[in-house]
Amino acid sequence: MDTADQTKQQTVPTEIAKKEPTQSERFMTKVISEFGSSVGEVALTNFQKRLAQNYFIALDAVLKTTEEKRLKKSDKFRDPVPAVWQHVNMEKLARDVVAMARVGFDPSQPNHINPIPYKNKNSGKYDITFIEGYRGIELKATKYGLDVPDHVTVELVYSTDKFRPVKKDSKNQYEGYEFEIVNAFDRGNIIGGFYYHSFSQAPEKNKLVIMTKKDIEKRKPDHASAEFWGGEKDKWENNKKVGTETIEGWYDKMAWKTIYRAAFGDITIDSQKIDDDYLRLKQMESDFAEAEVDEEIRANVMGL
Amino acid sequence: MIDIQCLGSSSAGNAYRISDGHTELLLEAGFPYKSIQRALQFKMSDIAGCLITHEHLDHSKAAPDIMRAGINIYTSAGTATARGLSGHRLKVIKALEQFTIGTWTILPFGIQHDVEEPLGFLLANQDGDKLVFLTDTYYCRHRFRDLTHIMVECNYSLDIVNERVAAGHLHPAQKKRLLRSHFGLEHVKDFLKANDTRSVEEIWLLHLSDGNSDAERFKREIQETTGALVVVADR
Repeated sequence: MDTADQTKQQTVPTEIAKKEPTQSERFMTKVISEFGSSVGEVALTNFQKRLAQNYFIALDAVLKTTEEKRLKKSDKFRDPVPAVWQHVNMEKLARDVVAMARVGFDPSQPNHINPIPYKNKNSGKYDITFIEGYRGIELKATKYGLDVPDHVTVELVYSTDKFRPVKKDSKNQYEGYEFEIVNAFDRGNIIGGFYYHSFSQAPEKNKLVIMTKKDIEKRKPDHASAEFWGGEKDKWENNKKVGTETIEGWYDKMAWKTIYRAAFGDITIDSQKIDDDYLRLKQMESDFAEAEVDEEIRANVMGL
Repeated sequence: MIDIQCLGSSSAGNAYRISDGHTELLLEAGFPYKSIQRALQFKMSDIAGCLITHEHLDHSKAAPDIMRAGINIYTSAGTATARGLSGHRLKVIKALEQFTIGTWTILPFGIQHDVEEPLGFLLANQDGDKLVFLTDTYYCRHRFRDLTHIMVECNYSLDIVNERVAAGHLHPAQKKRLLRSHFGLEHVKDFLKANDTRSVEEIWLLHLSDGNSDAERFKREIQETTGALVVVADR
């Protein structure tokens, strides 16, 4: 660069200097271009714009938390790549956000969808995977279900409750149940639960599914957190494990959510309604399973 | 010098005979006893002991008959209970508690599979050979030094699995289980890179899946990763 050019550059007023787009603007641009390429030249509706913004806000918060956790780790166990927007696989993220926003998943709603960053060891970037919450499962089942019940009842049964299933037989035309809470303020221990699909226009389709406590426990995730399910948790003092402590957790709520997930997971998906977005969702579930295993391996490999 | 003989290595059955010239061991007993007898040319009395990794029948089918034949079975309490094994021929072993059989010193270690108390084995002999035996696990928490022989499961490759899921030949739920119960090519490579393989003479790839694997490709890629001689165990 010669002296004249340098002088010219120095006199350029800063207010007309090129402004770099913010991360939020870049994210929206990516998402809008994805919407355009996947549904043709259709402008985003206000609703879709709002959803996309919600994704950005939720992801921004998750990245901050992930980065804090990363920095807390010692040098030996810390991933060298910061969990910040520059290191996020934006191509994949924009595609996934489009698919999920079109299904109607809203990360600002509790238990709809939860973004989780995973380091992709091949690309060196963070892939954002999404886990459906129990409300998300409900949303998907009601949108893509073949035969969606008018009402889904989900109840836990405690030791003092009175519960009698009514199965379809020569005396009973429809499946049903009798359920009475005897002592609302001291119901005893959980002994199981049930869900009931009711169809007001076609009661012959009514369906009752009973789950014992063992059935509920069977669905408990392998790596269930003691903070949620209760149980034993490692106790740390001065960065050293000093034993375990028992935590009460939220067992009742987790057991109820487990039955709720099963209740909506039991609604058959109509292949006629399956579109690109649903298939993309299935692909994302599959990607998540891979990422989860990779993460577990990375966290657990040690020397002998 | 370790001599390895594969009697079969697939979900239909797994068994391997290893010998250091002094003591012969059977690793796994996943076939009917008569098939194992035939494969070993009826020299069952040469077998000093049989190590079993976990309870699935393709690894433990002949265990009761082997004990009846007077051969000790070495396995975890979890596996013994699950298979209903008992008697004086059953030797219950624990992860990270070393024991010996003849000239072999054996260190069992915990592995990751969807069963009760599965084990892998690190076997060292008096000639300085060190063999690690690792099957039906989706990763290994441990790293090993000075290995001379590696027998490791290499069940599937993720790209083949994903192609089969996309084509509808494999249910997504099966993929999910596979990821958390078996060793895939990509993770085997990571495992080998994480270990000291400078002295490795042979790597045996075990338990290749019928539909989700490609023997030639797996052999080539593991050879490229390690520079060691790679043998794909016959199914």
